[in-house]
Amino acid sequence: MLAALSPLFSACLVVLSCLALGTALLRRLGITLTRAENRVFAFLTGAACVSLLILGLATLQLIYKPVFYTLTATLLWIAWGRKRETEYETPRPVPRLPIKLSLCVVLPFLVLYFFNAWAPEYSPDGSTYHLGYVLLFARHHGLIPIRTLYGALPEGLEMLFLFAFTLGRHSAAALVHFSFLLALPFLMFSYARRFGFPRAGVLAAVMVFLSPLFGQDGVSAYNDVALAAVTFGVFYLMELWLETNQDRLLIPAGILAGFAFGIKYTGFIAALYAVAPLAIRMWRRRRVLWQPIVMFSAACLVFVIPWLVKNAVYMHNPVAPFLNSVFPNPWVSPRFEQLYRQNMATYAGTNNLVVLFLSFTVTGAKVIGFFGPLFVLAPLGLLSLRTRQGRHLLLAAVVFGLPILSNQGSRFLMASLPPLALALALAVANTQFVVPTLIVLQALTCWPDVTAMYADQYTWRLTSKIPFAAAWHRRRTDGYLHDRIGPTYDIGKIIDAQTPPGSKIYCRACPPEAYTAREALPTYETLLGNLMEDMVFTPNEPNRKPTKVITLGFPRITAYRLRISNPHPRADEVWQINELRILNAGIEIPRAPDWRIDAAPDPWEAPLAFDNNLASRWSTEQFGAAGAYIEIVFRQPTTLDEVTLQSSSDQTAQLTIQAGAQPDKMVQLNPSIRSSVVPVPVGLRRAATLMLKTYGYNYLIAADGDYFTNDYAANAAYWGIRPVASTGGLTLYRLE
Amino acid sequence: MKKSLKWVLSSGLVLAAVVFAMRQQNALDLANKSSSFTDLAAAHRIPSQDINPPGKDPEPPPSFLEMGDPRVTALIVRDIGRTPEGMGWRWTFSKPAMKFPVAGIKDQRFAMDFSIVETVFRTTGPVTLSASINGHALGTFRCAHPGDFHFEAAVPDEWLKGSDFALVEASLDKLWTSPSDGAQLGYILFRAGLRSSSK
Repeated sequence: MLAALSPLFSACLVVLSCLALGTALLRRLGITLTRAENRVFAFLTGAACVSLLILGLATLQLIYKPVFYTLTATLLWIAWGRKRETEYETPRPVPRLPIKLSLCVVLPFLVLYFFNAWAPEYSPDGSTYHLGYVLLFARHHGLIPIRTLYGALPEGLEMLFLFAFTLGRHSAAALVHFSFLLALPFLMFSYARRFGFPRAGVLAAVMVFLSPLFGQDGVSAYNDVALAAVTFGVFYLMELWLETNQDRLLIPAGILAGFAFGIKYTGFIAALYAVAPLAIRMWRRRRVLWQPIVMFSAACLVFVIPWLVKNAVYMHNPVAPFLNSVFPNPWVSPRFEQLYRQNMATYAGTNNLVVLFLSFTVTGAKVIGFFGPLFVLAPLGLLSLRTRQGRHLLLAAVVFGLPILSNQGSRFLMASLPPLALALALAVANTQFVVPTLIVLQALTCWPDVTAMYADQYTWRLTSKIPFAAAWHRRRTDGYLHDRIGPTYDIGKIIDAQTPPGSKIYCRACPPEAYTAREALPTYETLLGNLMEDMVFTPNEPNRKPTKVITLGFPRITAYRLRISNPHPRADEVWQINELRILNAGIEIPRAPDWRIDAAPDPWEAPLAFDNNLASRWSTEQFGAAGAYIEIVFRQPTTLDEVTLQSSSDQTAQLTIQAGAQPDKMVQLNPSIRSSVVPVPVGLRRAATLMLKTYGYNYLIAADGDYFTNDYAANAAYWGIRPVASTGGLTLYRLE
Repeated sequence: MKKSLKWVLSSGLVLAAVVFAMRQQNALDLANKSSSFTDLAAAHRIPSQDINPPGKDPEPPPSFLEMGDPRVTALIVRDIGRTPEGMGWRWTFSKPAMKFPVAGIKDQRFAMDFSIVETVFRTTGPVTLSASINGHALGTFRCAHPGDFHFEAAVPDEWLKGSDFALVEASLDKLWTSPSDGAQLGYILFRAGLRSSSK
C-alpha cells in the first residue's frame, strides 16, 4: 500500500515545490494576475526554476532523498511560511453550462489518465532513455556524462523527473508529466477567459485534454505535453504584456522560453515566437525597446546556457547531437546526424499533405499518435483571422508547429495544438449549440474503445482498460511490465541476475534502460555502437567485407611523413580503410610504437586502420568529406615504395599521396594505382568479437529475425560466443 | 546598476562552479573509459596489433540442404519461412526463392522434396510447380493430388558459371489464401539444392 502511494506522494512534493517557488517568484516580481492565472504560472515558472535548481544539485552530486525533502520544506516556507498577501485581479465571469458539461465528459478521461500515469511506466521512450538516464543520475547521486544521441539532448523536465524518481521511482516521474497535462487546459481556459472568449476556451481546453495523443503522452514520462504547456505559457505572457504593458511579465516569459529550450531543443520556438510581440511593440513605438529585450533575453538565457555548457563540456559540442561537422567530437558523427535527420524528416514516408493531415488527426498511421477527428475542422480556425487574438493564436500555431519540418512525428506538432484549438474554437464558439456539440463529439470520438475502430492499429494510444490493480500494486509490477514491454523487459531482468555488475552488452534489441542496472544501449545511440555494429555485420554482409586492395606504388623514397588523401569524393561517399600497410620492396614495414597517426575528419577512429584487425575500419564518418586524409609520421626517416589499403569493394581508388622527406614539408607523389580483389579474409567473426571485447563489451543480445542472428546460433564457436540465456526470441551470449 | 552587477557577478560565480563541477566529472569519466574513442592522444598512437587471422571460419553451407538446417535461413531470398518447423520443414509463400552455394558447375542437378498439404489442395485443386535457376526456366511439375513429391532436373553448366550462388525460384500456379488474415501459403519444403549427377 505504502509502495503504491509513494509515487503519488513524490509527485505531489515536486508539484508543491514548483508551486511554492513559482508563487514566491511571481510575488517578488510584483506581477498581478487573477488567482487562476497566478496558480498556473506559479507552477510553470516554478517548474523551470526547480529544474534549474536540481541541475545545479545534480552537478554538485547532491542527489539524495534528504536533500529533496529539505528543498521542498525550504521552498514551502519561502512561499507560504510567512504571512504575505498576494493581490489578485478579479477574473471575468465564466459560462456555467459549458463548464459543467465539460467536467462531466472529462471525468472518465481523468480517471483513465490518472491511473495510467500512476501505474508502472512502460512507454517506449519513457522506459528507455527519459528514465534510463534519470536512473543513472539517481544511482550516481548526480550528473554524469552520458555521451549518447539522447543523452546530449537538454534534460529540463528530466531534472523534475529526477526529483520525483529519487523519492518515488518511475511512476512518480510520469505523474509529474501528468501534472502538466492537468495544467495545460487550465492555462488555455484562463487565457480565453481573460481575453473575452471563455466559451471557446472551454471547448479548446477540452479538445486538447481529450486528444488521444495528449492523453497518452501526458501520462508517460515524456516531455511533449510539458513543452506544449510551457510554450503556450510564453504565448500567454507575451499577450498579457502586449495588453497590460507590465514589462515585468517578460521575466516569467523569458524563464518559460528558456525552460522550453531546456525541455527539448525544439522548444526554441517559444523564444522565436516572442520576437513577434516584441517586434510589434517596437514597430508601433518606432524605437528599439532595449529594456524589454534585455529582460526577456536575460531570463531566457539563464535557463538555456546551462544546457549548452553541459554539452560543451561533456560532448565538445554545445548543441550536440547536432552540428557535429562544426563541432567534431567522438560521440556523434556528421554521417549519423545526417542520416538521423533525414530519417526523422521523412518519418511518415510521405509528403502528401492530405495523407499527413489525416494521419495527424484521425489515423495516427506512421506518425505515432493522433489528435482526434475533431481537429479535421482545424482549417476553420482561419475564420478567427477576423479578430486580433485569432491572428495571434494562428501565428503562434504556425511558429510552434515549425518543428514538424524536422520530424514528422505527431509529437512535434503538439506545441501548436493549444493555440490552434483556441483559434478553431474562437471561430465557431458563437454559433448556437456548437460548443456543447463539439465537446460531446470530442469525448465520444476520443474514448479509446472508439478510437480503436478508426485509428491505425499500431499507432500510439491508450486502451480503455484502466490499470487499477497495477497502480495499487495489487498486480505484480514485473507481470504488468512484461505484458506491456515484452521480452526486452525479461531479458533486462536476466541480465541483471546473470551478468556481473559493470557488464556492457552489445544489443540492437535492448532491455529498457530504466529497468536494468547494466549498460545495454541500442547500437544506434552512440558512435561506438555504430562502429561495433559495422564490425559485427562485416563477417556476414558482402558489401562490408574487406575484399579490395588498393596499391599505391611510387619510386622508392625516404620519408618522415606520409599522407593519403581522397581529394574529390562523391557527395554520398564515406571513405573507409580497414587496414593501411606500408611496404618497401614488397615487404611490409612493421608498425612501430613511435609512429604517430592522424586522420581528418574523425581522427579518433584512425587506429582502426592500423590494428591488424580486418573487421574494424577507419571512416571519415562524413558524407563527401573533400580532402579527407589519413597520415603517418615516422619520427625517423623511413624508406618505402608502396602503400596498400584494404577495404570493402565499394571504396574509391581515386586517391592522392604526399610524402615529406623533412618532418614539416610534404611533396605530392605521382603513384601508380591498382586495385585487386582478394578472397574474403579468414576469421572475421572472431575478429569482430575481439573488437567488441577491446571496447569493453562482455555480452551480446541477439533477437530472432534480426540481421545474422542465425549465424550467431549456427557458428557460435567461430564467433567466440556462448549462449547464456534465452527468452521470447532474445538470446544472451557471453563473449568468450 | 549595483543590483544588476550583483546579479551578473553571482550568476557568473554559480556558472563557474557548475562548469568546474562538470569538468571534474567529465575528466573522471574519460579516465575510466580509456578503451572508448575519447582520447585523442591515444588515437594518434599505433594501437596494439591483433593476431591475424584471429580464428577459423565455418565451412560454407552445402549445395543441398535439409530445411531444418539453421544455415538455410541465411540463404533464403524471399517467401520461405525464416524458422524451421516440426521435424525440419518450412512453409513457402507466394514466390519462394533461395540461393544455393555452387560447389561445381559440371553435371549438376537441382532436386527438391516438397509436399502439398491436403487442406491447401482442397481449395486449390491440382497445382503446377514452375522452377527456374538464375532466371532460366528449369521445368514444371504437376501435382495432381496432395502428398509428398520429388522434383529433379539437370542444370546446364553455363547457367551456373561466374557465380558463387545459384538463385532458385520455385512457385506454384495456385496458392491457398487464409480467409482470416489473407496470408497465402504454397507448399511445404523438406530439402532442396544442387547435386552432382555423378553421386
